Amino acid sequence: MNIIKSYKRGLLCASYNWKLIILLYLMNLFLMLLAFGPMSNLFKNIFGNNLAIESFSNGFNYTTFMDMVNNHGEAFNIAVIQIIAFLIPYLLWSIFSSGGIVEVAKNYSLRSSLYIFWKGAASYFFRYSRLSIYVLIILGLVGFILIKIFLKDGLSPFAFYSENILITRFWWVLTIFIIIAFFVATFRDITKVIVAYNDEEMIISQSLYTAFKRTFTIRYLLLSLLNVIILILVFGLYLFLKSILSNALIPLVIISQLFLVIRITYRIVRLGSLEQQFKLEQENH
Amino acid sequence: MKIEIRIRLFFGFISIFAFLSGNHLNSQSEIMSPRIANYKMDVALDTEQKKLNCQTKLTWRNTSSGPVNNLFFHLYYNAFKNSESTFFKERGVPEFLTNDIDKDCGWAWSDINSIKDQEDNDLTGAMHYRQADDGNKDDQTVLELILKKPVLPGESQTFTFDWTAKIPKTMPRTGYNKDFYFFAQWFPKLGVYELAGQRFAKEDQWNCHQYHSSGEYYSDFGSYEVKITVPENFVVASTGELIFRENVGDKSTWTFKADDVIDFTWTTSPDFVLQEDNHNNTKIKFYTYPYKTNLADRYLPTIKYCMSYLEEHLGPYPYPTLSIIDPPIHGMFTGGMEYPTLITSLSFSFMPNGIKIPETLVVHEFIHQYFMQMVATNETEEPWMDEGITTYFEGRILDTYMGAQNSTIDFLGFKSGNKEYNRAEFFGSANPKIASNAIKSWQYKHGGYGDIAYNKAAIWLQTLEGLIGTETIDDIFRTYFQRWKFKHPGRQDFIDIVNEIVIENNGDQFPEGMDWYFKQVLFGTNECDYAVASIKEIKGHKVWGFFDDSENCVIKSDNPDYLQTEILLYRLGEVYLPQEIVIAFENGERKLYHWDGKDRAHTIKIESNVKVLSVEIDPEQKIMIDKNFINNSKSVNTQSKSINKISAFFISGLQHIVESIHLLI
Repeated sequence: MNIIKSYKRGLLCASYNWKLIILLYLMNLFLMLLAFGPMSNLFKNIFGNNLAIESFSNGFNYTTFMDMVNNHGEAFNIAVIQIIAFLIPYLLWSIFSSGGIVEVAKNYSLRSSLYIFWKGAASYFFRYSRLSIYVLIILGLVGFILIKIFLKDGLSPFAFYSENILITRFWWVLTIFIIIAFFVATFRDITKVIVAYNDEEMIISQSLYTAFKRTFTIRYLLLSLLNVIILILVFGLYLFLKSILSNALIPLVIISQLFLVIRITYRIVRLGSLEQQFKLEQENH
Repeated sequence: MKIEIRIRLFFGFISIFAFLSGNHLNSQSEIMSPRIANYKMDVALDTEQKKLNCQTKLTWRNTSSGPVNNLFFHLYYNAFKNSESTFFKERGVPEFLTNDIDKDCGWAWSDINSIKDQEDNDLTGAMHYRQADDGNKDDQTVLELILKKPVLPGESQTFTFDWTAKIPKTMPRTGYNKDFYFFAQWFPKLGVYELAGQRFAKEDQWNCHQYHSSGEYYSDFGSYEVKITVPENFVVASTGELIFRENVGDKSTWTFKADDVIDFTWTTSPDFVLQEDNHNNTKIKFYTYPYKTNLADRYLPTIKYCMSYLEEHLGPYPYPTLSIIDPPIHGMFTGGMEYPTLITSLSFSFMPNGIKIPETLVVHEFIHQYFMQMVATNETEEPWMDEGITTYFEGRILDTYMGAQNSTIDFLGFKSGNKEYNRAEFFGSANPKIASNAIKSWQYKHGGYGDIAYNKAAIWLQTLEGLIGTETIDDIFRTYFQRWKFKHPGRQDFIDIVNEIVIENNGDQFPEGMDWYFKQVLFGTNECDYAVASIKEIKGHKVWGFFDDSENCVIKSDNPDYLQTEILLYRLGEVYLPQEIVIAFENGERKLYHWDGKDRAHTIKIESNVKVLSVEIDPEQKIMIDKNFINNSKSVNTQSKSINKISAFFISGLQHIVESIHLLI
């Protein structure tokens, strides 16, 4: 029952902090508007005064897209690189904001205090940055090992009797990666909660050890899984609506924005519920 | 009298038998081609030694007016003899082959052990390798045989020879891997004796090129009767019809017959699964491995549609069989090829329906039954007549069958039609001006063979269709096929038919024919690009100043409501083509203008009180060879609404991508 209770509290935390959701959404939108700026200008220069853009009115148009790439390829590449470059500030912002979310969850009864968010974000930024590096290293290593396993017989088509061997192996490797990534993500989020709870200056091995033990506790696993399942269900609904709307651009964009808000809310609910689970556990002790 | 009755009865029975046997027998008994080179072969596959041992009886007819003292053979397997052959000198040994070559010595060869003429003269010592194309002495892909007794005009002579071939491993288009064997260009095959005036021949001569890395095959029509002995559990698929099969011990002999074809190809494996279907009088046989049998649902309806389309637009497919081979992954070096009545495709069992490679390949390769197989052009010398025309029809058929914007890919929101895909491939190539369509396949030394021979030719054929209309181009291809089937046309033969039909159908539009067009697109390398440069509004019209030698400054007329729109069009490329221009007005009216497209710049002046909203060159995109359709139009108003919509769509996608970063950190 603690799991449901924690999840509910996570939901409450998110609902109390609707201002935070708006802030996170606006930050996402602002950064992507900046990232897309050069591409938008390029579109205006190429399509601003001709009828070619109308070819996209019924969805993707290969001829127009390829004419743009073939005749304006260099400018297009620069605009794409600009978008990719924006991943780095967004990565840092993500680490920064996760500290704020944990702090808000820690104080979830205080409604809509952005002060707490900024305080937590600043306090935990470097510790969470280190944690992110550890997580990326772990995932990188796992990915590397799994790719090695996938490629153990090479990729020469002539070596295989049937491509089904590769397909089966691919699905196994992908499944294993998803399962491991799930555990790693659970471990990462519990560590964030413990670091905030103990407010240690460094991420000490004791915290990592405690988080590691919790990761394999059925309650934490189920809670993490519950979060993921609900997100998957919402994602399924989103895909369904997308398929119905087909090529109606504006409704598609609106639905997409709604789903984005849900994804941001999911982050708060997830960290909030894990925080509450940990808090309940400490209270019971 | 009795004898006469018996004779009548005999012929009566024959007629009834022929009638009961239906068209199938009729089509086979009808001699459709000149049947110049006829082969009877008895070949045994040695799966242990990876060799072919064969006895061949070749009967060749001299159709020229002079005696012929020599024969020229292709020995294609010698292209895989070593790294010094012309084939590998031109393309280098592909990296993916080197492992197999090292491990199993995948090199190959073909040797004629002995050869005799019909008078039992041993000609074995009269064979010499020739390298007419490049002088590469290490190349042994062309063999000249000096005859003791010339073949006289109109005479046929039979030559008997034993030969052995070592089978290559995973070489381009042919060879073996694991239990899969594919034999293309596998036997010593006679070149084509061209008569003076035929294609480029100035005098009677053998046309027998070395095996080059690009370009394929050219040979004469004939009849083939081939006995193939393989291990008993192997399934054989081949050109032509199976007429007999017998098992002797652990071996099985399959006898096939094919008439009026230019080649004979076969494949064998113990794992082939056969699925059959029919189209009119043709039996369609689909061979693949057990794990890919589900692909029959994609191949068979597509091929039947394609057959109907070509029957309607060109003429009937006259053969009783068509075999489609979808090789396994370890045999994919043989995929995507065309042979008489046998084609190969390429697919993976997991290939989503939206990725239409199997459909594209099977359609492309089947079209080759018409262009290269029946209309037997020389791909080595004029690759566009084979690949370009085929790619053109591929676009027409697939875009009609599956939609002009999704016949190649329709997967995860990404869509592309066949014609537009080929056009983008060409204009996206490293250098679309690298060569013309008028050079031989091995002259594409700096690349571009695929882009020029396949895509460029297809695009300018589409453009030709746009200029003269679908009806006229259908007339052209129907005439071309009917006139040249079972013969060897050259490009001038095609151009002559185009001129003939265009003058007949579109004489008012193109009274001189289309030589001016071919000069630019077939023989030239220039690009075509038209653009709308500007739309300028001139408001008001005032006539004033000094007039009539008077010193009075006067205003003769002043019309502030006058509106003139000047539209400036550019020809940016070197190629000139007549253009259609559509001008859209504020009141919803659309006017069509014609421009011969010759000048570098052209102005259209419109005196009308109704404002011009937009101008578009070639709005139906008939001129597919225009390299940039984006600059083909201009609008007076900025399209900011549409751009904002598109930008919002992309930004929305990006927002989700970056939000996913949280999954990692």
